[in-house]
This record gives sequence, C-alpha cells and structure tokens, in this order.
Amino acid sequence: MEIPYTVERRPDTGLYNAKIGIWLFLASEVMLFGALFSSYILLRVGADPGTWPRHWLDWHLGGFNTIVLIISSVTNVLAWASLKMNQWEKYRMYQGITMLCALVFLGVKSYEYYDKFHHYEITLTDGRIADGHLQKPETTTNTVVIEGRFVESHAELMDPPPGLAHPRIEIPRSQIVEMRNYGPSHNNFTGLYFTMTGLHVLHIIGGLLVIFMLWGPLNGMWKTDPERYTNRVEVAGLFWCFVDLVWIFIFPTLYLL
Amino acid sequence: MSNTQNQTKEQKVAEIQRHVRQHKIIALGLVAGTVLTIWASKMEFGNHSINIAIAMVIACTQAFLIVGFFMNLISEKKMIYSVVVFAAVFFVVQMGITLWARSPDNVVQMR
Repeated sequence: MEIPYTVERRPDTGLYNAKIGIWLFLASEVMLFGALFSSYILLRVGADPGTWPRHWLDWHLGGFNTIVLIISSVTNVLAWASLKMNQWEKYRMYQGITMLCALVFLGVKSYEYYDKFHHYEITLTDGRIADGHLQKPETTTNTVVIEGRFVESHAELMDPPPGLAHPRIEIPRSQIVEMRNYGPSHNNFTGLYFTMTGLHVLHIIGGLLVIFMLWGPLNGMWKTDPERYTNRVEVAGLFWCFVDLVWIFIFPTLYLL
Repeated sequence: MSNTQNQTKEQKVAEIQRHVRQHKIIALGLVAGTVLTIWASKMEFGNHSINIAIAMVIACTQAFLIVGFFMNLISEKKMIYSVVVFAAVFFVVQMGITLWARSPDNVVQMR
C-alpha cells in the first residue's frame, strides 16, 4: 500500500503528513513534560522552608551537557541543510557529530547517576548523620567507609556550602541505624530529578536510534527517493530540537535554582 | 526554461546557505544564554525569586530561538501554528492551575 503525502504536500494543509504528525506528537510531549514541571513547582513551593535541597547537582556537568546538546541541535539542522543542498558527505559528517554529542551527553548523565547512587546519607545511633560517597573497595562486613562529613541535622544537608573537604570516614556498622543512597526514593527532589532527567534520557536514546538508523542502515532511500529521505531527516531533526528545548528548561530548574 | 530552473536552484542553495549562517549565530546566542543563566543564578539579588525570574526569562528566550529558527516555526504553515497554539494554551492553563493551587487563598496551614 502506498503511503500518501510522504513527499508532496496535502492541498488542504500545505504540508506533508509526517510533519503534521511530528508536531502533534511534540504537542503531546509538551503536556507530558509540562505535568512534570507542574509537579516540581507544586512540591517545591509547598516544601517547608529549608527542606528543599539546593546545589545538590553539579552545575558544571549540567552546563557542559547543555552546550553539548546545543551543538548537537546545530549540527542536526546543518545535516538537514546539507541534504537540501545535495551534499551527502557533509550530511554524514554533521549527523555523525550529532550522534557523538548524544553519546557524550549520555556518558555525562551516566556519571551523574552513578555519583548519586554511590552517595549515602547514614543515620548513626548517636543521632548524627554521616554524608558522603561510599568507598566500596574499603568497605567491609564490619565497617563502612565513606568520603564525606558529619552533620547534626538534615537541615545542614539541604544547602551544602561550596568547597567542603571530604575526608575519609570509617563507620562501624554497629553504629548505623539507616543507610540510604541519593537514589529516586531519597526525597521529593531526587524523585523528580530522576523522573525528569530519566524521561529526557529516554528521549535522547530514542532520538539517537532514529538518527542512527537514517544515517546508517536506512540510508539507501537517499538513492531511491531523496526527497522522502530528506523529509524523514527533517522530522527526526524536529524531535531532536525538542529534546534540546526540554533540557533548556530542566537545566536551570534542577541544577541552578 | 532550463536556465530559469538552474537559477531557481541556485537561489534555493543561496537561501539555505543564508539559513546555515543564521543558525550558527543563533547557536552562539544559545551558548551565551546558557552562560548568562549560570551567571544570573550565582548573583545575589536579595530575593531568590528574582534569580528564578531571570533564569526563566532567559530559558524562554532560548526556547523561542530553538523553536523559531532551528525548528523553523517562524516560517511554518497555519496548520502547525494551530497545533503549537493548542499545546501552548494547555501548557499555560496547566501552569496557571498549578500556581493558583499554591496561592495563599487556597493553602490552609494546619501547623
């Protein structure tokens, strides 16, 4: 069966069908991410003073990833422009850079997740809290080793001052009441952080797969039906720019404010 | 006829090249916006709400640049505008309800 309006424009809309399809999909994505941002605002505004974490995420990494995504969006648009100008090799190069940027983004994000899952808040029998990164190789059945600090209350953990020293601390397991990492279940902030960035990462992976498929295994269409191929690249590019757009809001919301 | 067609093609290429230059400048603007957001978040304005407002204004400007130029919305067809307006209205209503729900009139402190 022939799919209609993959290249030629529909007389009533003036667009090829895939373009309307992707914009409708992106509209639904606005609602999806909008719901998460809305949850963030409700939980943050509703939190008691001094109980909402600040500066828990490394803005250097977040800022770096923002710039990486901006570069990938530009190369994506340049790749599409190259196809429009019939420059196949340039398209391959630009889209290669786009995919490389996506992999760099995912690498940095993986490091951030790894860091959070190895960061522990340890409640001790004397009421103090030990907070820091678990040193797995040195941790034994009797002793837990972290690089971090002791605090007297949760409030001190909410906005850690910059440049804190992180000495090595040995804690006998007999003194530990509870040990929780900074994973999604740690508190509302980490829950939202992992949900929002996790959903965003899934979009990055999805976009990367589509771009890769068009760039590699499915690139034969460029020879048989170049216009349709270019339209596919354009649609994938619209999705990719949207993924960048979402990150533009996630970065200041979670990393800076 | 063939000459006219060639000219049209050349004009098209020139148009695309102009867009490419434009996109590169916009990319620099987006990077500058990111740096500005970081700077604004580190500044002490006396009230944290000001930091939030500035960061959101910069983020919205960056969003406009991405949607307008990278996604080419500024020269799209009516149909696409309808879809975008539809989504924007829902988003604004969603955020409006969120902020309204947290307004002092609707929050009763039990403690």
